[in-house]
Amino acid sequence: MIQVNQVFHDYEGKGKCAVSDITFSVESGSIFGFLGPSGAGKSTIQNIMTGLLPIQKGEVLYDGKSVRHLNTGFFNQIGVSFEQNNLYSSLTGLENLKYHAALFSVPTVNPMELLERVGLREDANKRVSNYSKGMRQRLTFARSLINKPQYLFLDEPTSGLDPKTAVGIRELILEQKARGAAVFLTTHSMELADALSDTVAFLYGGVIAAMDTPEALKRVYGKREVRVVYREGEEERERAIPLDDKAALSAMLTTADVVKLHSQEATLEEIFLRVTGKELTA
Amino acid sequence: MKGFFASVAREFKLIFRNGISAFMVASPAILAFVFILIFGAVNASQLQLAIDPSVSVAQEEKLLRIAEVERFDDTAALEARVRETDAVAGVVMENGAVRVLVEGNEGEEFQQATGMIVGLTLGTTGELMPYQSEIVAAKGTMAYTVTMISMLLMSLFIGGATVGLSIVDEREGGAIRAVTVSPMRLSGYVATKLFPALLLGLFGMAAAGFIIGKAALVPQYLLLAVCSVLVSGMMTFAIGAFANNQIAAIGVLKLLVPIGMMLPVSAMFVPQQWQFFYYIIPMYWQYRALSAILSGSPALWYMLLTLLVSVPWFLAILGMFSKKTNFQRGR
Repeated sequence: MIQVNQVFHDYEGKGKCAVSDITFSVESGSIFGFLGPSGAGKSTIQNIMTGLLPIQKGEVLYDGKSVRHLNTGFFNQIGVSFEQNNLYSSLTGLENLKYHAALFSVPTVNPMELLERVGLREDANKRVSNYSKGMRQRLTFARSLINKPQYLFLDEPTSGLDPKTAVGIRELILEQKARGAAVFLTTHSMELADALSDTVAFLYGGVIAAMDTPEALKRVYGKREVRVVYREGEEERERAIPLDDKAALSAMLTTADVVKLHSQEATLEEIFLRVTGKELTA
Repeated sequence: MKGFFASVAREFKLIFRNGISAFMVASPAILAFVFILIFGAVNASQLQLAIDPSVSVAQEEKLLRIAEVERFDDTAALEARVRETDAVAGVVMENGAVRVLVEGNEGEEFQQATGMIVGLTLGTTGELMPYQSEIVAAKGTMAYTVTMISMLLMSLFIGGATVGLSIVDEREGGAIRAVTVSPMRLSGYVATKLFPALLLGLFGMAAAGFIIGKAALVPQYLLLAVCSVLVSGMMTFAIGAFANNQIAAIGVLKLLVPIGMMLPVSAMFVPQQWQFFYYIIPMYWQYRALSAILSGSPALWYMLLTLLVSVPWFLAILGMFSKKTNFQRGR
């Protein structure tokens, strides 16, 4: 389990924190969706969690062990898939994975197997400089899984991918969760976060504005009503009926010529807008 | 160790798949060829000789069968011709023996082979006429020395610069970020950069030594390359710290070439009493070591000073690199 407790970070040391009082936890075998616009502080948190930035205030614990005292062995247990693919473009896809695998002192996954899973087997021996953006994205993702990480950090893993490939990547992420990895997912894609995350947190202006399971957030911020479109004579009419008003809803469904029914459940996008007053854009 | 060897192998793949880096690796050998073209070749296809009146017409005819021969009116004019930068040997007869005069900047093989060939040609059939080789331009010209030392400094510089460019490539493409969140420690990363830089330095020095015909000095050149490993590292990590793209790297190189090569050579033109200003510069000790090697003086102390003086510089530059790339030193 990863625990982040009251983390603050001030880059310039002038009292203006990029992130403030960040607290959350990611259970093993779960996916934590971290949502926020650019500049919200997502990268700062991820960099603190992966040891790239020193902790100034607060604590990050991996199974109870502070990130301050983690040794090189810790890095055998993490996998990081960055949004901007950072690969050796002069090397082939296979060479990239083989090189990265050689850095770990734990059993690693067969690179060809991983390339197969992300649909790059045919292009394994092509130089990365000849890969498309989506192919690079997939290779970056595959690289993060090479050491079967216990803690997996994914930054926009499906960005720029076609729907079919994105589905394949989602399945792989769920497999990591199923084998017990704690997955920290940073994304702008509300659909991805909604589909995969056990818990989501909205980061805005360096603070967590809301955090809960997607269902709970929808319950809290959504409207508990049904919008019914029905025909009356030649005209189509619309009416919102609260879910609690069972009698009205029953009457509508039994007496009216119903054309369409819409639940008024809020999307994560709407919830984010409601919570922060801003749209979640890249 | 698996990670170390994989990183070194990757380093060479990156270098040889990049046209600029591959050219840089070959540049010491190219420069050495240019050097021997200017200062006299070991492997001149046609032997060129200068003679004075002590050589008879009959002997001149024998020499003409093996070489181009120029006759001079006196020994002074002959010596002046020998001192010129091309590989012309002077032949003077003295008490029935041959004196072969060479400039001294040619390769050792040239000096030995010319004496032997001339001795055999002027002797009776199958017998070697006694001969003695003599160097007329004892320590070489200033131009020769400056060029020779600059070329050898360049050979040492290139290794570090080439690996530095590969770090820039890692920073520009972001690959270094993936390494910083891997189990590779900063010390391991440094080792995987210093080792290729050292190998390239050894290769450059050996190639330059053999091509310019100073094979006997190659072991000393190689020892200097080993003692210069942290100087190469300074170049590598300075480029890596201050340039995050290839264009910036060219700018950094423009700054480092004068520091790495011109600054130490400038000591040649500075009076002895002011030389202490250079003592904190490791490249100065490289220059002193090379000067000592070329003049046949002991150079080991200068080599050790190169290594010692480069340690604090290297650590300071590594600190800056670590800060710029978020590579945590404590790991």
